[in-house]
Amino acid sequence: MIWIMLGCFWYQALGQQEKILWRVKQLDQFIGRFNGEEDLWGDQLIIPDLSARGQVDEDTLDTNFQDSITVAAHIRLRRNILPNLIDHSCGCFPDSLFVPFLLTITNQSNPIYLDFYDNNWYAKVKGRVTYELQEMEIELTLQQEYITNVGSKWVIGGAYAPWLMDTNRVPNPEKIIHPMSHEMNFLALKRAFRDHKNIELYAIKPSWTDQLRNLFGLIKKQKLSYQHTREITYHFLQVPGWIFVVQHFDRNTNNAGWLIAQVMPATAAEKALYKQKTLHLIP
Amino acid sequence: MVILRKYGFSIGLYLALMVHLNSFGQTESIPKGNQPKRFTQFEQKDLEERALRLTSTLGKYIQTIANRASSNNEKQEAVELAILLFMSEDKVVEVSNVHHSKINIYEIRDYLNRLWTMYYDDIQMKWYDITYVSDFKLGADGKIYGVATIYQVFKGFVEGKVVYKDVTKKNIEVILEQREDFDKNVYWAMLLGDITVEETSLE
Repeated sequence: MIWIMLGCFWYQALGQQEKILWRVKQLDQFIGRFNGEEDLWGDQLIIPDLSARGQVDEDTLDTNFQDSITVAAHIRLRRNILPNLIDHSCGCFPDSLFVPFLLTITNQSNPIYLDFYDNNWYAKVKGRVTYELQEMEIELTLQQEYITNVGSKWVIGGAYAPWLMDTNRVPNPEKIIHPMSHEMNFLALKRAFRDHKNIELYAIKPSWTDQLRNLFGLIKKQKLSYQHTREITYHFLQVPGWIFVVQHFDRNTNNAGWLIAQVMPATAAEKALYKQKTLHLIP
Repeated sequence: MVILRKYGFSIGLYLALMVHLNSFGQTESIPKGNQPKRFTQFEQKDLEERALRLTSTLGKYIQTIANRASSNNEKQEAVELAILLFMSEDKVVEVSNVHHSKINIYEIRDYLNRLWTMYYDDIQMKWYDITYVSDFKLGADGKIYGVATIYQVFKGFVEGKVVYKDVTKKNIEVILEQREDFDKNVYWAMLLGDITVEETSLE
């Protein structure tokens, strides 16, 4: 693990304050650090080609940040930050896997940035539901849906539970799983499942898998209620040639919080299969 | 650059990457979703400051409620004032613990009343001077949503001795909703939503 040793070359024993600073506290912060918009100490940086991404109007740039770094310096900085965004505990990132991934992300002519409003990234939620007085496990896959000129929300796109195998959309802007629900353990799912008459309004449109259709049937009959979320993983499929999974690690080290737990090379066909098998979506 | 000095850039890693650089070039780009309104840095900073003021006000009320030295009247008033900070009384607090799988969810009034009945002689709540406020995002319901993350050390004392200590991570939902005042002027009200309280492995 040469790159880990080198990547952590400057690491010294950190105090509690520093450990909290380094901890990736929200997925939002993970995306910010992945993009090099924020360093590990929480200092804000300007991406040199941010305006080229159509995200920032030059006039709105804070004058304090005008002393922004060059593209090359920013690439170098990201190459220092990114090794700290992976889970160091599993030892499952050999150089042969991570270096090509890092180079794809930080390619000087075409650097890859994540955006909250990208297509093709998903939250996979493992939750507890009560079905016919028994607590059961369920997996739900949610994705961001943006309504033009209105705003965004999470929608349920897939469902999986072995017990689900057995068994005209009216727009209503009040019925949503709001776009920041993911940082709140998807507490909003409990309310959505309770709103049994309108459960379809919380789902992706128009096509549902059989399991999702069965799930909504049980919710409508009030046979099933959501208890709590047990685990959330985020699956990023939008990076060309790659899939990576982000997961939360709570531990008293500087390598904690929301970190990359898995990286895998994937072709378009493999991504379609991953959507179907792992995320329970219609590919 | 200050940042580069801080990181002490690793020459070895850089050289290793440069060797591979040309062979892994990508020209494909990420397919973008629809691009919604984004808040400018000035707007975001203003929202963050307002959110932190709001969460710090809640912290002060919680301290009054949980402190044995406060009178019942003071505690009752603090509960009512704290509830006014929330979007509605059905907002909940989810409490989880790193050592147990049990997760408890309380409506906000229940949660505050439970703090009232703590058995400690004295409590100490220190908020780490580190907070993270997410980018604010416009929801499909026309409201604006953000989440503030705060770390807090809690110490409970009985007869002058610490009998309980934990470090919790609190994620606090902050919601902006358009409202009308009596003169029909529209304004954005900032209110609190759900809270997750998670005991961490930090000491």
